[in-house]
Amino acid sequence: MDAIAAFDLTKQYDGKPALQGINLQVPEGRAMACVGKENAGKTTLVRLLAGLRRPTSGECSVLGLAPAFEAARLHSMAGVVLHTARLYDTLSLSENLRFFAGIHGVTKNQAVERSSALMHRLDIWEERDKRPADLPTGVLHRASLARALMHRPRVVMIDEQGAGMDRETTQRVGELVKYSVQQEGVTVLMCTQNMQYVQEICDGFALLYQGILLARGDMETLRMGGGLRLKAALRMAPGEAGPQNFHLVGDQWQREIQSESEMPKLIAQVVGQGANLYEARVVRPGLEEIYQAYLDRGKRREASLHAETSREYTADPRPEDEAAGT
Amino acid sequence: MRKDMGDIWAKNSQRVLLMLLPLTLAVGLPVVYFAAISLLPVEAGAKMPQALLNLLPPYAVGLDYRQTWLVAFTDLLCPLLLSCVPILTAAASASFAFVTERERGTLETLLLTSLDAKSVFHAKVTGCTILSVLISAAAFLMFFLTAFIADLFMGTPVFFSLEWLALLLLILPVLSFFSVNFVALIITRVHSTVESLQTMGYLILPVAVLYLVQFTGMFRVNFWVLLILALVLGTADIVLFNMAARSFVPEKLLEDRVEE
Repeated sequence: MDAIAAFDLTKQYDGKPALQGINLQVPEGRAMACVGKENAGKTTLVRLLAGLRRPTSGECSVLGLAPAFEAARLHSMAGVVLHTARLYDTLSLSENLRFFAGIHGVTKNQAVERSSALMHRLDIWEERDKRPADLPTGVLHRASLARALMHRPRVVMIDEQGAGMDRETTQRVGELVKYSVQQEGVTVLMCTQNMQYVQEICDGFALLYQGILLARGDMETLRMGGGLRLKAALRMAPGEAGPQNFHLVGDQWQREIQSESEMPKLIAQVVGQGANLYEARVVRPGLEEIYQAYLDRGKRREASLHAETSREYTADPRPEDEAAGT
Repeated sequence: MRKDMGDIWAKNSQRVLLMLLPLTLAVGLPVVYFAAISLLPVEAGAKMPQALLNLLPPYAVGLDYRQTWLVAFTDLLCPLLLSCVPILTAAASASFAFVTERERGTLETLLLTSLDAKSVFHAKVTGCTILSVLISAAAFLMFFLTAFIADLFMGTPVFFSLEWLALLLLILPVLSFFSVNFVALIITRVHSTVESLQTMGYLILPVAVLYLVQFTGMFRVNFWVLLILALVLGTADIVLFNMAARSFVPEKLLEDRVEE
């Protein structure tokens, strides 16, 4: 069953499209990342799925509920992290967590236990008595995730602000998200600009660009769809010349290959030629590279379409142009 | 609801505002006036204008010049000052509970909980109205003590009447509720707490006009006028409450949030 689904989801603000015809499914117990640069529509997507916005057209559902109409019921089963949704400055961190847990009907004892566990996992335990105004952004981000997880939701949707999260935060958030997916069976949708980071956490990806879904799938599907190839990377003895058709990248000799099944033959060939091979590995393109490949492909297609239209225009002049003899 | 009331009270600036406004209106201004009257130099045969005398309650007949001015102030102007207390405190607390929460992003967090928007709205309106009614009642009590002492000092009969009872039991609660709903209704149209606080002026103006028009001699704000006013305001409260509740939806409340 899909925990999160969107069909032809469109949202416009004053006639300007923020999301256009998005189709998306996240199976229960899986982690999916929606990645894209600024104005890709990530926050809009999370807001639509959280019931804070109503779609202009199309529909979406989370755990079988329509977010715009059953928001309260949905929030009792889902946790949402939005960078604009903040904690109370008048309460300490632990008081904030207990307050929001209380709204969700979590008992006092359970709230204390859960908040303690989450704060330890996110490494913000030491900050528990401080007020949000006195905490750095990274800690606040972790605290927001803890707040969203307090009532043990079945689905968590995270919208991350910008690309600038500190390393400690990305690491702790990543670990907790992985733990939630693997140990608690939580479904996760992460919307972020930080592609390298979600690549290690999620198993499915959706590439967004200016409100349009460029592609979705796992890394392998996206890589093939983006026309990117695997590379064989060999590290030879220092000063030794590389094999034929390989070029030097850093301290490694690289060459594109069709699939990893080519590797044993390649290694045997190099070793057979008497070369001192120290290390051999397959280099897979990262999510950022794949995203860029889709953007470049889109630009190329746009350019060729533009060129085609221009050719048609000059080859087939308008009747009035003909009449005018131009 | 408890959290809202606590939050409003917890911030120094907000607490000071909510304490200082009623204190100034219910104690500060009357004390200054009472002191001024008691120090007023009186010429022999001085008399208050007849038009004003006609507006005073029957017990004012036969009082001396100073005593008559004391009755005039207590009976004609102090109800206006006390009516401003529920308006100001309700508008201020509603601004803090609705607009400040929206500004700080905590309203969005609340809307992401298992409370639906309607419950959040009801809790906030109830909390702000209770807070405003409590402060207004306290302000009235302080005013009563101040005026009682002034009456004793000047030898004037105690001022309390049926009009005061109507003001206390009918007008103050409906005015509080009206002001809270008014701020809740405009939450989507204002951009900051300061802007929201400025709306207090629109709420005070009609009340001020009502009490000041008395001095033209056209009419007097008596028990029946107050009763009709309470009924009109009560009806307006219901309409305003429903309008504000209907517009309290995430889509409208979070219209200006940054989206990527």
